[in-house]
Amino acid sequence: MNKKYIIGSVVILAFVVIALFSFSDSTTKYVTVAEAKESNETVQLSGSWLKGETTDYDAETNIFEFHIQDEKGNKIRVLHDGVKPNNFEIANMVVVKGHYDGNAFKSNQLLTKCPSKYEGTAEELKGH
Amino acid sequence: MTGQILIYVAFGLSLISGLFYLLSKDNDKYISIGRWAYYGMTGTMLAISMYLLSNILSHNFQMTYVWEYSSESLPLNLLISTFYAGQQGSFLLWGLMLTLIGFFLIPYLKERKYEYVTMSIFVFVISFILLILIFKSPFEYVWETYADQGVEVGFMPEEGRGLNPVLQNYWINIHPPILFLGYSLMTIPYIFAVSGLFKKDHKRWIKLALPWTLFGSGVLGLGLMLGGLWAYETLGWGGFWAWDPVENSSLIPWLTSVTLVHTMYIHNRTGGLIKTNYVLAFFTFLFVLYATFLTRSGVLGDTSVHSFVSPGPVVYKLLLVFMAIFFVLAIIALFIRLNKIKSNNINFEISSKEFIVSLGVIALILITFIVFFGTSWPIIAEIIGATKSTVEIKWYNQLNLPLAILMLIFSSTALYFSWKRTDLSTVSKRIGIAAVAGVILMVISAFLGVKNIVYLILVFSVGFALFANSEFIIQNFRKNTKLTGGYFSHIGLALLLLGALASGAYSESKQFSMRNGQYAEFKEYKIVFNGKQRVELEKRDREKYEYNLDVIKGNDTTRIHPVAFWSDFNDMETPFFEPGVKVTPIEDIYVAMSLTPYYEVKPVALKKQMSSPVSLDTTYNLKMLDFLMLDMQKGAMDSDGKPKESMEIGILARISNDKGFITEDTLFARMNMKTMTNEPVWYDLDTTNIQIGFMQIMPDKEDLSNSGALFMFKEKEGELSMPEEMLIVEISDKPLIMLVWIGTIFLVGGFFISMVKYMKPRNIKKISKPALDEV
Repeated sequence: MNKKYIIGSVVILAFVVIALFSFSDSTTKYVTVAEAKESNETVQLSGSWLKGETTDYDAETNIFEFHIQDEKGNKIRVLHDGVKPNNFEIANMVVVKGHYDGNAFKSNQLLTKCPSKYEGTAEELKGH
Repeated sequence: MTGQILIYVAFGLSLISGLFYLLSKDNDKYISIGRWAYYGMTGTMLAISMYLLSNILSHNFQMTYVWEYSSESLPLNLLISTFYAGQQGSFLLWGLMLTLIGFFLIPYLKERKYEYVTMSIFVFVISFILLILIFKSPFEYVWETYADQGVEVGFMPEEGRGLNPVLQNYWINIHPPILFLGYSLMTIPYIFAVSGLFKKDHKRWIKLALPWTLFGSGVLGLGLMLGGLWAYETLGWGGFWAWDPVENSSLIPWLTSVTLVHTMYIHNRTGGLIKTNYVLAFFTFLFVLYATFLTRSGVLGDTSVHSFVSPGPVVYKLLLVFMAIFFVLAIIALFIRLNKIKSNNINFEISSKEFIVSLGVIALILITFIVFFGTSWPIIAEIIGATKSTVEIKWYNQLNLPLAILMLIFSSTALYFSWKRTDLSTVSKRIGIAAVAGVILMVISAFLGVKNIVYLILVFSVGFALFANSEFIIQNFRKNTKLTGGYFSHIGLALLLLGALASGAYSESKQFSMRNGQYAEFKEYKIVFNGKQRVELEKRDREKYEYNLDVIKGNDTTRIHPVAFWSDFNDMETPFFEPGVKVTPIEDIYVAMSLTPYYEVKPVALKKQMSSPVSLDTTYNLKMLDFLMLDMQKGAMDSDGKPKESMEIGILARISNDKGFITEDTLFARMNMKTMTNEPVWYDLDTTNIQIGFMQIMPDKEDLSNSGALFMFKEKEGELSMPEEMLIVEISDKPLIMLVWIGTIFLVGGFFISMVKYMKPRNIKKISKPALDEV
């Protein structure tokens, strides 16, 4: 084996190891409401928007307040740093990223998912 | 039926064509049959596409696919684009693109006597796509799709669901077809590689596949960046690349095909790297299949901003089988031949051009690995049982940044090196001069405020690459312009990376809210909100407004138009937005907007047992106790049997202040049963000049007893202040983003220049021995 190939392989291997080690710090976990309340790190929470609860955007503070419920039925109040996103109301699921501060989930990223809007249903078909 | 039958016919013809091509060794008659079956399949494929298109254009909503994605209100260009707006149609487009590529591929192969096996694999790829179309047909009728839900045969929906307004843009006519053409072209290195292994011809296939690989890399690269431009300019994502899994999954095959171009190039000059070329050619195609699988299997559902429709278990499995078969085929073929493959000059001298280019190739492969790993993480996590999580953008940036630097430095240094061995003393001076150019650019950017050391090194390598490649373009331009493709691409890459760094790491962003006539101050700009006007009045399915924002800097005023529109698509519930961009060569001013109502006096929404201060005098507190629905209990009908037009309703509320005042009283209102809005009986608050009105019931559809009420406040004799529209804008600057687009043009253009070089007929005749006289 040529020396330069050995050196090369070691360098590449080292890079891959660094990449994989740095990886775990660079991921954001998906958690349930219960887990989010326990965790101190930045986490992701997905759930459905509770239409009945307070949903309010405050233009002065630029905080969008709403409530979501996770799969297990646990509810949490979310304070999102930013405006209400486009198609928030029609989303059947939202994903927020942030942390729980003891009072509410402080979110700085909010994604909306609307798969239901992309596939037709028989009711829609007849309704038209 | 017609459509389905045509798909079966095309599938049958593809099998015939593939089989005869496979058995056609030294048998011209078989080749000829394979070819004619192929032309027959091409005709059928065109007929299938025309049939779908004619159903779309004639609004035949009996077909589920037509009903799901189009409507009568769409203009012609968007109507055509609904052809590939859904999964079935995009598979059909992919198949059609492949078929049409074959039309150009056959004469190319015929001339070079390489159709045998090569075309066979190509046709089998098309067969697989047709198989998917058999299981997921775009020609299904609504009564077949919803058979179990009582839709009677022959039912014709009045109107289609229409195209998602987010996609209603000329970009949908440009970006997807180019991307699919790029995807389809990625098949070609694969079929040449399998054919090479089959024929024990381990060298010639590389030369034959090179121009196609160059073309494919150019087209897919263009497709990717046009997607970025679309996201930036219209969708309002704020940038051109977000390391989103959907973007990444198309980037991965592009990275391998670009790597392949380089290893093919090294092979052409040295005869080495044959196995590397095989593996890269395989993965270029397999990664396209992988991308298709990722974006259509639903595994990315939670981690991407894109939305997915699950294709159903059959197509899911077919895609898996598709991937597995073409993977196994490649692996088996490679292992059977492994011992017989002999590369020349397996040892590259450190001072040789091939060695330096190989280092660049390793950097590219590592980038591919990073993107592949990050994108596949949701799948990997599921397999190894790790907690579900998403990868942050910073991981991609941090790891790819040093690799990008190495890529630029290697690709530029390699220019000065000679094949086999370089006398370093003769080239070191030239490299030194290019490095000085890099240092100059680095010093300038340090003065402009770039402090981060890694960023400064990137800027250095950009300057180095710009100088070195420009030098070689000037040297070669007169002699033979066609040789300059690589230099142009590398200049493009350097510009693109510089633009990405500046617009990504040095973008400032600030949020403002303003009402008509107000302004925001952002850096040296003043941005004034000057009203809005309705546009596209002729379209009845939407209400679309252009907002006027004057971006003022010194004496220069530019009006930009962010857009908000309400569409029938979501029953006008919430608006869709498009950003406004002021484009300048130095930087863009990017304004992403959204809207919120503004009230002079803030209304209050309360549920039972909740309380809130009174907006005009916060020493008072309003608590909602219960609803009083006296009229409602008497029934929703009048005594003469007609539905009531309005009803008396009330709220039992407790009003108190901090000085000990407390009372419980009823706030009455008359509710209009059609609009569900109230005409309040204004309630005088204690001794103040304030009145409280019960404006609306805010029903909780899931739990009616949990419904709330909306209250507004006004002064006695005063008018109720109506809500005004308030613009929430996020203003950001994007320094040097223009370089990203210019860089893309150079990068892509370079591939096309090189393709022309390798396509030229002179190469065909010399094909048996490497054309070593060419640079």
